Amino acid sequence: MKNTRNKNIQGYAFLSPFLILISLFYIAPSVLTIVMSFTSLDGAFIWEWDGFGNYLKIFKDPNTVIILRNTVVYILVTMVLTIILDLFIAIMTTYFIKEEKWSSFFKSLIMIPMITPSVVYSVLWIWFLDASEAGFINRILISVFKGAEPVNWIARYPFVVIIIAQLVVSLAYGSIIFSSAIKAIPDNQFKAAHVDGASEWEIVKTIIIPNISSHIRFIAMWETLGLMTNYINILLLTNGGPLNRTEVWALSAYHKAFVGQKYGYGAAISVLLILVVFMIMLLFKATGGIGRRRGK
Amino acid sequence: MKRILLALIAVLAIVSPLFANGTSEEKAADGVKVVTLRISHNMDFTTIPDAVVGAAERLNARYEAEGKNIRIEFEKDYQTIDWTEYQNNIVFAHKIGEAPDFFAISDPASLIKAGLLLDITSVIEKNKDVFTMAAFDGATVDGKIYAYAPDLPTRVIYYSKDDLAKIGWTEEQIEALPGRVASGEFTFEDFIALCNEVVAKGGAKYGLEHRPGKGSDFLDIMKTLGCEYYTPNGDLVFDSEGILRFFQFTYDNANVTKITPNNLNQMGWSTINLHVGTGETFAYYGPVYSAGYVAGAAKLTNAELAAQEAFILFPKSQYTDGPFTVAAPQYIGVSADTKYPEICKDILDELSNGSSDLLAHHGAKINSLLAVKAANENEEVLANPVIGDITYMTDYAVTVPSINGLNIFHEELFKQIVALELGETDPETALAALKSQTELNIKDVIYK
Repeated sequence: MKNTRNKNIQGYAFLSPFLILISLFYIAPSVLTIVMSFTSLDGAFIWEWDGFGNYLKIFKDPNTVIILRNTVVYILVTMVLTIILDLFIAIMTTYFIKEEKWSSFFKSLIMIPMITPSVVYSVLWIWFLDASEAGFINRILISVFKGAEPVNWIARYPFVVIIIAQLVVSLAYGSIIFSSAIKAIPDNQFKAAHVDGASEWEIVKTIIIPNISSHIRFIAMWETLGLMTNYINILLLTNGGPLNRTEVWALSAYHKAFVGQKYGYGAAISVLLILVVFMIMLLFKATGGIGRRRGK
Repeated sequence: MKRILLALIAVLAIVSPLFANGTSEEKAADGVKVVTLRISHNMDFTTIPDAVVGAAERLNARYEAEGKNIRIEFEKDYQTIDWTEYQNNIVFAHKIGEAPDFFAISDPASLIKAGLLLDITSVIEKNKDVFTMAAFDGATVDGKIYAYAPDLPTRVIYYSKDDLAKIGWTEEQIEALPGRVASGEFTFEDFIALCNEVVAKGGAKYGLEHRPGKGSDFLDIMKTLGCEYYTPNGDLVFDSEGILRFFQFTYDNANVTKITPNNLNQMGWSTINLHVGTGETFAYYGPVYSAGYVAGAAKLTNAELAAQEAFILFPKSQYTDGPFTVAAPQYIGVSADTKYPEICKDILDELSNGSSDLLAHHGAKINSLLAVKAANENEEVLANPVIGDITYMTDYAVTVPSINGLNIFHEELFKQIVALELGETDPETALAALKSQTELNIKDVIYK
């Protein structure tokens, strides 16, 4: 008993520098954000108590519904497409392409957008989809269809643009995780399925997907949380526009705080985001728990 | 262990002076008190802080002649970062007692509200005959002046002389246009009709363009269309009728008459500057100092640009009494925490008088008129091909007071402009959306 307690103390002692850093750089700012959300802090940086004023403003704002809808659609569509494509790439590069050389080549290719700095990546997209004749796609369009007018891609299809741009960045992480999970499936399962005459689709459906279901759940959570809080590509590509067509929750917090200099208001939006993130984490934990219990 | 400790102390001793900030004072060998001030600046126009530093050098000579044992030296900190970020840095520097003595200002209102700016009314009032006093309206609260206006960058309408020649205007007619606008004979309605005519007759592809981002230029058109969006006290006025008129104008230009490309806001600055510099667009509204960027984009010298492009005031319209130009100085603030308020004021005094040539140099360099009248008569300014011919505009200059919530209003207004030009909303819906956001986010607005 005493030994266990000593071990616990040692563990906490080793963890303490990390815990101190976490408290300083994560917990303290979170508490400050919560406090700030009850103030009317603006560009003058004077802390004035405003009660629930900022929260009331959020609920009164007619744009809130639009931003919420955008956020939900953006997350759901991007997350589902990311998982489908991740699975496709992982299965193709791990199960079907057996040769390590080619498999690694394709995996490296999809890593490129992820390791490209967001600003560079977004500038490429902007040049690619530029509204004038100078845009890459428009150039092709005009050279193929003589007399065609340049298309204002980003303004006309802003939501499609931000989803595709985010999708391309997101692919690498999930497909690498799935790929490793597929590799971990014992070979005899595939051999047995082949002996039983199972088709490739049946193997995917009944062996690969069930074996990596916990990884799929993890990537779903990872993507959901990432998409909720990361707005950098949207900021650089459409800045939430035109009007509020691509404004999402986290981006609206940025706009209120750092463009409108309404730090209190921005903090209130962030606090609601933190609450939702927290609830989603609990939800995933709960469903994960059910999965484990069923597994028993 | 001891060695490591000693090494750490030695490193600290070497490094710590690098992080030492704030005004400092030391005695030089000749017994002169050296006062080191810090000056901070943001963005391109470094001729502004250079003028301050230059004025201080001349003040040193004056101090010496007067037998004052003071020598001013400067530590410079020039940056090119986002204005909001820069201003936040200034606020935080004040909070920790490390504020620079002089610094650039983008939004005087919040700094004045935070009490970070020194009241410099005495030095401005003392020189009130020296200045175009309207230049200080944007930094005046309750009759007190809190920032210095080194220049008077006017916002105007550019027009292409070449495009007018293409549709048959004679040189005399072209050169007479600025005067006709200034006299009120040629109105805004006439000018928009001219934009349409130039496009219709093939003089230019587009009739009227503007900046591709939020900015005060749009407020000038609103003002031309009779929308007074502020009171002299700096309260924001929401004039529904005037704003609706502006929204209709914006919508029509992009979607009905099509003198403005509807994808203008998705184009970059370089494309728009090129349109202006090559005459692809007949007219453009924005600051005169943008002429430098326009010339750069079109690979022209200032003189070549001035030969093909001219500038007019925002003309009188059926809703206004006369033509005008809005001047938006890039203010210099003096920290309320400076240890040497009197020396800082002396520098500004010197800059306004004996050293106004340094301001003239700044104006000539960036294509801007100056708040100090004498500087506008300086040879360097008069020889500038862009601003040399428009010094008369100072007589028509108005400046906008420090308006509460203007930044947020700009942001929401620009969102609606983009949507209107893309044809994604109509003027009435845009007005309703702007009103609801204004009501929600800005306090003490006067609704008309």
